[in-house]
Amino acid sequence: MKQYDVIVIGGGAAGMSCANSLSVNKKVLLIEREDSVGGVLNQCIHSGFGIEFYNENLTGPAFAQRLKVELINSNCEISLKSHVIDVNEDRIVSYVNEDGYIEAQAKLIVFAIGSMERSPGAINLPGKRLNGIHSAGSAQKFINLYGNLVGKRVFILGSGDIGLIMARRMSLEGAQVLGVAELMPYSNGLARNVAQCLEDFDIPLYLSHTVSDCIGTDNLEKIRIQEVDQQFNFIAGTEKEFVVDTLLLAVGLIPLTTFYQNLAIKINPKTKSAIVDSNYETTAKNFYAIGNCLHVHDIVDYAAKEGEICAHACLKKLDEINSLETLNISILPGPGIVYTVPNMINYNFSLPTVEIFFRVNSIYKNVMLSILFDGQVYRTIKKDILLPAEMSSIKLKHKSLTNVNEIKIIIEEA
Amino acid sequence: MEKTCIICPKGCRLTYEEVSEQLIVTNNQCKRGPIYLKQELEQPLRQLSTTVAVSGSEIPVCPVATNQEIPKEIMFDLIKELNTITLVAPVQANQLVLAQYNNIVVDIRTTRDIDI
Repeated sequence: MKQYDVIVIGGGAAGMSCANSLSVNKKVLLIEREDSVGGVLNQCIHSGFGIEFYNENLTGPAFAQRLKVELINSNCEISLKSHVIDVNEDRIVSYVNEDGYIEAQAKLIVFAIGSMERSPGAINLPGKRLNGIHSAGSAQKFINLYGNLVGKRVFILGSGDIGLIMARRMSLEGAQVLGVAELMPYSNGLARNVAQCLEDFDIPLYLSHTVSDCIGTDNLEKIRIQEVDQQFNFIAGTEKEFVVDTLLLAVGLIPLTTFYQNLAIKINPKTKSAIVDSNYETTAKNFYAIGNCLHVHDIVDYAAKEGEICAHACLKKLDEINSLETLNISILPGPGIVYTVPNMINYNFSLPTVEIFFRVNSIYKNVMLSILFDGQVYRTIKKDILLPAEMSSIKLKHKSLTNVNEIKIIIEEA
Repeated sequence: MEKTCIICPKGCRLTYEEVSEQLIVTNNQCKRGPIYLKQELEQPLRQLSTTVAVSGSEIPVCPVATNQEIPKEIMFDLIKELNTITLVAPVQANQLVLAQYNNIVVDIRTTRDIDI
């Protein structure tokens, strides 16, 4: 059986950046399911990527291209078109590709396998399951990687950025986008995407609306949308009907946690993925999780940065394997905070600063964000606006954490 | 009147009025807001990303993008023009696809490599 220092599973932004940083002096295998690395970036042909990671505004493929060039020039072994079927607690990865069934073992395993889109079943979409109902990401893959437009008369459910971006993309290629419905009373996408993807193309946005029926025999022929009240119940008499051949669902992503069950990796119910420390190590020692399979990111730059931080931690662990001693500081989400990543800080192996990412549970304007160390206020930051759709973060200096046992983040009225 | 600034992810909701031929912009969080608004009222500019056909590769299309902003009004015509172009693999990232369209500099370039 082939032996490696680290096996990275998944060649998207997080996996590539992790493998790049590791390959400097370690034996690394990167396993990728598709026929090229890049992950979802390959189909995200619009710009807006790389502002944090490269200090440049790049398209998705251009961002992926940079990581790919670095990867190809490194010593990393890359196995494409390879599907992982099992990862066991002895860190043996079993995968299949054109050469057949292969097993490989590593000292450390990094999961960077991304997320999946919510399906019609996952949101209990009313009506029939007809041809023409696609997830927004698969429609994006069809058009941007295969050159196929999935429909001519389109309605989109969900106003997150991918829903908005697909509204523009389908319009530019000659489809008619009749509208975008959003369950919440506000758009989940960036304001500038509402402006340049919907307003530029005169596409109406129906807030507090959702699909109430999908009608057709084999193919989608019509959809109905309906307004909802504050408890998300349909309001009678608000039905609107649209003759369409395509309904795109842009209703969120779920981290892929395929291999966690067998490995006793503890799950955070809020992210529905692994609990990790500041090195992105899970509760199963020597197994790491980064990128969208850990929590869903708004921007790829953070996923790529996680890859680097994780690689740094892996390098340290490989070189100092005998002096392994963990002292964990727990991080608790207080009132207003849905979750934090990481869930704890590994005091011994951290970088000079630790960045803690978090999401809020509702829209907050002019509030104070307080960081508590063992119940005492350590720092208070004024925030003009905090949005559920936008991940926020705070940075803590490693040296400020001496003798701290517990960190809590809370939102308070100013 | 109001307009959303699209320069950065903050997306300021700019308010503006014209007072004796002078454009007064408020609600902007940075100095790029008024510059964007002035341009948007004179001639809106946008970045364009799309794909063009590729022959000689398993991948049938290559992503391309404008290297600079272009007038919003030419977007649909420009896409039609780009849909008539076929690149031949291998394609290099940053390869020039279309320099000008109707005497307007568009500088459309590929954004990835495509191997044979």
